[in-house]
Amino acid sequence: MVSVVPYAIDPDRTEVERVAVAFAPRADSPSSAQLTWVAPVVMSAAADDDEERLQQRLSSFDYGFGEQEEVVRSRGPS
Amino acid sequence: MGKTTLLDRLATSQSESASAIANLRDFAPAAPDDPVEHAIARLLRVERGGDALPIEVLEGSGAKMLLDASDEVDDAFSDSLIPAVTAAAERWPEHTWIIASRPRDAVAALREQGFEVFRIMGSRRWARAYLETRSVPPERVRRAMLDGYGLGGLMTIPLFAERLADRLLDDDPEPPLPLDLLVGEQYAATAREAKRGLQHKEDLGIWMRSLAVALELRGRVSAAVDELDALPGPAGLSGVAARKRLVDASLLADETDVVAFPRRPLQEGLCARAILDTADPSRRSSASP
Repeated sequence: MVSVVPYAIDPDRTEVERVAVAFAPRADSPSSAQLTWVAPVVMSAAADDDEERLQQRLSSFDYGFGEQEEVVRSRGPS
Repeated sequence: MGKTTLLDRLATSQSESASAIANLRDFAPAAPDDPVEHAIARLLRVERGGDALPIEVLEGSGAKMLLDASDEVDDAFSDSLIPAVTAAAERWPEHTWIIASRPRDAVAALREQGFEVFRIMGSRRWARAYLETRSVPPERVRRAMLDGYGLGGLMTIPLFAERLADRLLDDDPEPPLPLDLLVGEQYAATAREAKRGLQHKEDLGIWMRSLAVALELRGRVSAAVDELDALPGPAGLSGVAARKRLVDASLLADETDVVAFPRRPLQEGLCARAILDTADPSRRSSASP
């Protein structure tokens, strides 16, 4: 279903944000409980990877400096 | 959005391969005369709680075999689990076998049997993507992660990301205070868990707060499972059951033999709330005649 909503144009398009917020799915709404799925970050953990090493690799992924190829993202439905 | 949710998503993902899911909480060894892998095969369902997996699918190839709750096997049967899982993967090697577990001994045992190990990580980038996917405006996401709240670390826990998204989507001119969010969501989550059997929904939250205060007073960030299990639980629950409920609700994290709050601010927030809720004894005494 598509809802078409007219809005008053202003430089920052603030009405767009307000409409998006109004229509955004809520977690506490039973009808939208399954709407939002973002695949978690799944990382290969070798036998010699201790917690510190895993956190370093995660930080590299989160802040975007190197080692991203080591992070595996599950391919669940989006 | 932990391992169980991920398995469910894998089971229902739109791929051409079939899938089956088994809850290992119901695991029991096969009968003495039966092959050990039958203990796994009989648990496989076409969907969670659904019909048994057809034999032609099991004997076929290319399906996803998803085994959940390997760390929740009855203690009496735990020694039989790894041999059964390993035998099933060897008997039906044409399928992809995925076994979910908390970081316990089972993980190391499965690695020794040749399974590759992956971990679900609490990621700030994931938190940002989640909030944006929930249509939270970028400015509010930035404020939540960095400026206003500084709760980026907490948002890596799906439970809190989910609830914060709701709060950020409310057009409330007064944004929630970090402490209110921190503590309020923990109590809300314990209330949901308490509905599953306790008479007083506050009891589990009070027990959780007592745990936080006790750890903080001792300068500790974790407790041994045995220590916690020896404590009396809230009304209607044993200490063991209370611990498991809080772990299931992601309010406590458990590694091998150790339990802790998933993030230090969760423990500290509960303590701060306990202090704020305590009447000032000096003020009370001065007001008394």
